[in-house]
Parts: sequence; structure tokens; C-alpha cells
Amino acid sequence: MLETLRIDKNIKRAKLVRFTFNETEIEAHLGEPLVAALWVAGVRSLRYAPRDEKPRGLYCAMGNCQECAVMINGMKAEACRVVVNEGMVVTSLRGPR
Amino acid sequence: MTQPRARADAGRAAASRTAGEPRREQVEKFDLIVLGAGPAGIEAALTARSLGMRVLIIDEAPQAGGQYYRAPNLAVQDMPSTPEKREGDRLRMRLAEADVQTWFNHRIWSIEPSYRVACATGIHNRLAEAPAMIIATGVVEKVRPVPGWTQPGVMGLAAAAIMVKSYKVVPGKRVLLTGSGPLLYDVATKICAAGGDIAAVVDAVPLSTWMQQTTRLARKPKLLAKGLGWMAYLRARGVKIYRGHALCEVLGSGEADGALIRKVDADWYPVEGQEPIQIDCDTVCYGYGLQPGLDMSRLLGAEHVYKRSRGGWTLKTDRFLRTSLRKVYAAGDVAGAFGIDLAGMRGRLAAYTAAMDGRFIEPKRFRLEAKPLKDALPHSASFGRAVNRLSMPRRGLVAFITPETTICRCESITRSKLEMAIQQGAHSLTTLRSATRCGMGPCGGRYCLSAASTILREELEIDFGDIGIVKGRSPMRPVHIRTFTQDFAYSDLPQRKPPPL
Ligand SMILES: Cc1cc2nc3c(=O)[nH]c(=O)nc-3n(C[C@@H](O)[C@@H](O)[C@H](O)COP(=O)(O)OP(=O)(O)OC[C@H]3O[C@@H](n4cnc5c(N)ncnc54)[C@H](O)[C@@H]3O)c2cc1C
Ligand code: FES
Repeated sequence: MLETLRIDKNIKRAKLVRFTFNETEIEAHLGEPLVAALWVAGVRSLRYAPRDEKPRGLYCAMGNCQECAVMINGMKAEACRVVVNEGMVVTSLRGPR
Repeated sequence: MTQPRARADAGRAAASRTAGEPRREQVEKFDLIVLGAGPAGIEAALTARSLGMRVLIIDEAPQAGGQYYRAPNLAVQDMPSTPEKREGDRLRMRLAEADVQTWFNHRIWSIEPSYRVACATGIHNRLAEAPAMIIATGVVEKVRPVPGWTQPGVMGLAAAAIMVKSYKVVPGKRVLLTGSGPLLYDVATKICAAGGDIAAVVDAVPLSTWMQQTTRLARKPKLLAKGLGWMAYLRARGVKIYRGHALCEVLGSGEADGALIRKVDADWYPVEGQEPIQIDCDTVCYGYGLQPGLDMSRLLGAEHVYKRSRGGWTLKTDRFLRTSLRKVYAAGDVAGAFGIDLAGMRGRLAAYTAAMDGRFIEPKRFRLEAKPLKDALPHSASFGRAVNRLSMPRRGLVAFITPETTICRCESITRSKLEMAIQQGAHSLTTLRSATRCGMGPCGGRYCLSAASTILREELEIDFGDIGIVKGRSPMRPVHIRTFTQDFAYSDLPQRKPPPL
């Protein structure tokens, strides 16, 4: 069993920084895709779908499906196309868009 | 999609622009615009430049490379070198050294005739114009819904590949990989090599179908050996491989937590009397091969053809890669998902054709240099054709879509809703979209419309070729409201009428 989902084998990453997702503090590497940082931290449910209100998360990892949409500093963005920055404030979208 | 608001907002935003800042609505002009900076687009751009054209290449990714040569994420400062990374770095270097304009982090969201390309970068809009374009936007994955597939922890095989290759993250603690095609084994091998735990590899293709394609696959012995190598690697590590089995349900109450698979027949219908097998896992990655991504060409109204051997619906081109539209060319997988081997070659050919049509080179030179490329293509494509036929999702998968299964993820539309609309007369994708909103959500129908086609095919007993594809709409991708309002007025935007019923 892996201790973390981050692949560590001889990979050197940028320094660790902190950001928040729905007010929970998360540590990740500067420049890491936001969705990857959340995934490794065990956060897979990123938003709640309109109508059925069911949780959704990363599906395509290439900016196509919009399932990973979150709010960052008040703007809607795809978590798979945004990279982690120190002090970033991320919250989930809920209900109708 | 947030709709742009009134002109007043735009006016205010424009007025607040500080003096000296470039006016972004200025249109930058080129001889050729290449859409997409994967291997096909890069080779196209480099070739066109060498033939004397002023070239712009655009990609929404932060770096060039496309899917196969996708660069590691920006946090990675150092990593062991791989052949893919070396070749990708070499391509990126050649592009950086060439006198070609590059717009990275620019998402193409609209294209107007003759040809004006609108890109969103951050909250800005940027426009480029050229008499000729090469479309090189690559592929999307073929997906088929099953109950439970909208739960977090379920993703495409392509997504899993990107996680390992670029994010440098293993997709889950215990991963089920299923679907069809080489990506299945490729991703499994990569996860295994990274130390990940694989619950099983479940391949819908029965062994008999594999055997039928081996003669064609054997025309590329190196690639065939690569495939067999993956399988041997997985077996040696004790990974359980099921053939002729398909995913029928993802379990879980909110997030993925297990899955059911079933034995299927040659058409991938569940075999009667065989109980589903439960797989213990927390992550499910599945997909059924690759198909050309037709956002650009659907928006432009180009002609398309349905060809299984090319991955499904694909851009119609002549042998020199001219599409049905004046001075629009197709390069790489968008003109048939034939893979990395052909991508560069098809990029170069498209550039030669564009240069010749634009009178940048003489017909004599064209014949001398471009014809050999054209002549080499059909033979080289035979492997890709065999792979596409092999991975093509068969009809039987529709049996796993229960009435309550969500088809359209964006709008949460179920199979029963679609069937109701079909029974009430929505007999084409366009009418089905208007009646149910399936395909009108922010994904632009990239995933749900092909799934909706399978329902239409089942209900009406027709073929994909008869169902057709729908015309694209602008914006092709969600664009932030400020991209619209900041730099120009709403009335300046392309206004499209709703598609006819
Ligand atoms: C996950 C994955 C793994 C693959 N692995 C293999 C493999 O192992 N072997 C193989 O032969 N083939 C593989 N393929 C198929 C194929 O992608 C490659 O053969 C190759 O990358 C094709 O090159 P291309 O230049 O045609 O397209 P791509 O490499 O896909 O490049 C297209 C580019 O267009 C850009 N783009 C698309 N839409 C927009 C837009 N609206 N705005 C701006 N930019 C846009 C994309 O960001 C991308 O960089 C894989 C595909 C995927 C999805
Ligand atoms: S995961 Fe599909 S858009 Fe981010």
C-alpha cells in the first residue's frame, strides 16, 4: 500500500504551501494542479450537481467535462486547469449554476 | 456558462482600462493559425514557417506537447527522464526556437468565418485572424454510462493517464481499470510501476476479437510487442486480467466504493445466467477508446463522416488533408484517431497543402516534398485502424444503462427522460438536445451526446452514421463573463440563432 497517492520516486517538487477548501486547510506543492492536491488530501467530492444535488468530482482531467468546477477567490474555475497558490481560497459550487 | 450582461458593463470596463495598456480587441493577423499544440500542430507550425508563412499556434495548456507529450505539472522541478519526456522536450525546444507565435494558456472559444479565432486567457479575450487554419485539436475519450458513474472516484482512462503522467499522482488506493483499447493496459502498467494497487484490469474485448485483429496489429511489430509487454508485466505482478467482461455498475453511496462487472458476448451484451462479479476498489477508471474531438469543425459547419476505423465521427478530408471548408485543414488525430506515429507526419502534410493553396510554394515543390508524405499515410494507418476497430464500444453496453442512469452529467438527465422524448418524436440528436437539454450543459455535449446516440440507436434501430452529429455552438467552452464584457460590447459578439429543429 502506498502511504500517499503522490508518486514520489525520484521526483523533486516545488515547496509546500497552504490553501483552503471549504475552510479546511490543505498543504500542497506550489504549482501542483489544484484537483491533484485535493485528490491526494482525500477530497474527491468537489461540487454538487444541479437538480439531483449529488456530489461530483474529477472526471476528464483535461478541462472538458466541467465536473471539477469550484469557486476560487470568488470566480468559477476548473480545478484541473488551475494550479495551487499560497493562500488560495477554494469553495464548492452547490445547486443550480 | 454565465451569460454576458449588458453593453453598459462593457463600456465601464473599457473606460477603466488604463492608458497605454494594449487594446485587446485588436486583431492580430497571420498567414496561418494552427489550433492545438500537440505533435501534429507543432510539426504543422514548424513546417509552415519553414515554407514562408507567418504562423500562430494556440493551445489551452500551459506548455506545448498535447496528450502524448504532455509536460509534467508545474510543481515538478526534477524527475527521472523517460523517452516520452525527452521527445516532448525536444519538440517544445524546436518550437521555442522557431519564429512562430505561440499563445499558450489560451482557450479557443469561438471561430468566425474567414477566419477569426477568439481565445480566452485568464479573463482576457484575444483575437487572431488568418485566411487559413489547421485544426489539430486531437481526441476525446469514448464514454458509456453505467449506474453510479457520476460518483467522484469514477474517471476516464484518459484522466487516469493524465494523473499518472502529468499530475504524478496515483488515481486511487485500489484502482479498477476497465474498458477497451491499448490505453487500458498502458495506464495499468504505469499505475503498477508507480507502486499503485490495481484491483483488476477488465477488458470488454473477448480474446476471439483480439485474435481477429492480430494480423493487422502485427504490421507494427514494435507496437504489438509493446502491448504484449504491458500484459506480461501486469501478469508477472499478479494483476488479475478479465477479458470479455464489462463494467456494469459502480457501487457507493456518494463516492465510488466498489464495482460490478459481468461477462459479455461478442457484441458485449451480458451473458445470460452469469452472475455479476463484485470488485473491491475505491476508484474506477474506464473508457472505450478515442475519437476525434470535433468542437472546432462542428462549430464551423465542416463536413464529417462516420468511420469506425477512424474512431467514429471524424472530419472529412481529401488525401492532402483539406477539409470541406475553404483553406481549413486537419492534422493529427482530429482527422482520424491513428495515434502518435502519424501525428507529426499528418501535421507536415497539412502545412504543405496550406502553403501550396496559399501560393507560398510552387506545385512542383509540393509534388516533390508533400506527395511522399501522402503516399506513406495509408500504410502507416493500418495499425491505428485495427486499434480503433478493436476498442470500438459494441452495442451491448446499452443493456447496462438502466432507466434511472444519468446520461448527461451536466444537466443530470436520465435514460428514461431521453426515451420519453424519443417516443414523443425527437428522432435526431438535434431535436433530442432541444427537447431535453441533453448536450446543452457546460461540457458542450462532448461526453453525453455520443452516449445519447446509443440510446437513439437502440430505440430507433438505426446506425450511428444515420444519427449524425449536431452543429456546434459558440462559446465552445465556458468562458468567464468578464472575458466577454471587459474588452468589447455584447453586441460585437457573434450572435447565433438556436439550431433549427
Ligand atoms: C490520455 C491519452 C493518452 C494517449 N496515449 C497515446 C499513446 O500512448 N499512443 C498513441 O499513439 N496515442 C495516444 N493517444 C492519442 C493521441 O492523443 C496521440 O496520438 C497524439 O497526442 C495525437 O496528437 P495530436 O497533435 O493530433 O493531438 P493532441 O496531442 O491531443 O493535441 C491537441 C492539442 O489541442 C489542444 N486543444 C484542444 N482543444 C482546444 C481549445 N478549445 N483551445 C485551445 N487548445 C485546445 C489541447 O490542449 C492539445 O494540446 C492518447 C490520447 C490521450 C487522450
Ligand atoms: S476534470 Fe473535467 S474539466 Fe476538470
